[in-house]
Amino acid sequence: MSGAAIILMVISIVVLWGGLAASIVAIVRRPDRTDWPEGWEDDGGPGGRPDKPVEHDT
Amino acid sequence: MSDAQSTAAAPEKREEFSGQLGFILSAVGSAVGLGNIWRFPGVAYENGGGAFIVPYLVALLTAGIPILFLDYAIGHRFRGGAPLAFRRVKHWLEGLGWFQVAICFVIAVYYAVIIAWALSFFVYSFDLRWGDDTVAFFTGDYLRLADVGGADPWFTLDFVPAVLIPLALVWAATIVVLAAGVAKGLEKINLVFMPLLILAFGTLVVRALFLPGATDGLNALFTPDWAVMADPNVWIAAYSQTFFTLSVGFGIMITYASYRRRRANLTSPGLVVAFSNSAFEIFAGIGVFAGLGFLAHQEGVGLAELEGISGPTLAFMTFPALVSQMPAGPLFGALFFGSLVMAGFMSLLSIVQVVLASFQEKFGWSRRQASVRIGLVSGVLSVVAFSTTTGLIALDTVDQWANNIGIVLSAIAMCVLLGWVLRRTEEMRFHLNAVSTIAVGRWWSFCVVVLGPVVLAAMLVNRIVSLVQDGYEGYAGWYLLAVGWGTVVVLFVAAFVLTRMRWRVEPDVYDVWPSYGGRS
Repeated sequence: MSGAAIILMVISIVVLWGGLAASIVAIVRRPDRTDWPEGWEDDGGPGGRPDKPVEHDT
Repeated sequence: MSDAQSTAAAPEKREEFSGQLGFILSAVGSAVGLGNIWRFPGVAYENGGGAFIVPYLVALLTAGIPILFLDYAIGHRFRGGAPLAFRRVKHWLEGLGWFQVAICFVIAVYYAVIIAWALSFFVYSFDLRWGDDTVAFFTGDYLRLADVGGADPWFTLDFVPAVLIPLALVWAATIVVLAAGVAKGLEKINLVFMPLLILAFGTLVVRALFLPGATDGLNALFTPDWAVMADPNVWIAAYSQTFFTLSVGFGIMITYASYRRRRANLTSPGLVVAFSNSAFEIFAGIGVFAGLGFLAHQEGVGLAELEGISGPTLAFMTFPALVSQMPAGPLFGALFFGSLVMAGFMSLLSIVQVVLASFQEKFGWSRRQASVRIGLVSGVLSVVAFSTTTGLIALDTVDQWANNIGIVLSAIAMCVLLGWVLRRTEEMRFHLNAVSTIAVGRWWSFCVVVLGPVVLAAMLVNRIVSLVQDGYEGYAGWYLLAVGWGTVVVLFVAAFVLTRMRWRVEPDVYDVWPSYGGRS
């Protein structure tokens, strides 16, 4: 392989696989927010209510 | 909160992915498809080799990922498949959702056929049944193609059992998996198939790297041609590649995001999905070109002289030839075609899920009813249109128009209507930032409101001019008008008719959370 081809191959791998690694590290370190906006709690949240539709008289 | 005067029933509790990992693997499973394996390497090779990484990255960061985030925001905020979510943005936008559903339906009908081919070739790998002349085997022995180079026949009902039987199996499997539900069917399959795909394809790539001539292939793929950077067509190719490979703009990611909990991170998983997809692409490029280098070495020719280095030709003609010459060829043939089947099947599930979700939501069908009804209709259409001796030409034509006209048109409409007409992109940005751990800045709005639609419009105009002026693959003009442009007409008619039909489930009773600017 030529020097230029090797360099470009390494750059491509480092950028794309590095991007993947960085995004995985980011989500592992902070998988979810802890400061959610008010007004809704899911099943799993502390004291949460299920995500079900609102029932109205229509 | 919105409400509406209606006698329609209230919707059932919405299905959900079991968690972050299930969502990420399912979204990656959808994005990583046949195009990653057979499209990216050829596109990179023909558009500057190693230098292609520059426009590719720019396109990924300025169009692919931003439009992916827009899809996520729409689906997650408005809690529905494409028609329902768009309707909740604005009533008259429902038609755009059905246009996207129609695209998915059309794509599913032919995409399943390619998985069926791969399934057949997976079986054929074990005894290298394609022999020495792989081109004649694929078009003649296997597909039994009618002669469409001349005047006729352009359409036959001569069914090919070798295609029909695996095709029926693919649709049966699709119905079974999707009937099981989002968490128990769709997600479970992705949890199993994604690691298996990485293992199978990874084994193949590592083996290919040690074949004689492999470095010549890598040299051809990565040697940069910087002169092409000034060529607008190379940039269009890069934007096309990142756009199509991420499965954005036609409802899939809207639907998937709608199955996430309200309190769910969107942008961080989105980055994992986007970079996983690109990482797989570059990995596939290395494997495919190492293999092509080996084939060129065996045949004593230069790589540039090889024909069929992308698309179905690469998979079903060139790769079988390559496998035949590899040590332990049957094993690596099975790994390659097994990878195609898994990658294709995960993508097919996501495409059909868009249709299922929309019919469930509008017509009140149960998941099982929707799976069986839509699976059967799609399966029958698949068989009639694409498992005959003229199936290949029909598939090739419908694919060209559904993708390059249908999807691109849909994405432009989404960006323009949301960003320019309704001016709701700031609300979407607010939503992304309210629930995500990585915030998006104003650059995101610029990308989805200005840059994205402008580049997509350039792609669309470029393609329309080419199709009108040059036709496609030398097929007859009337055939392209009927099957190609006809497909686009069908998309519009389906969108119109389905929008006009009455909702059997109340669509407008829901909570928008978090509230934005007094709108809830």
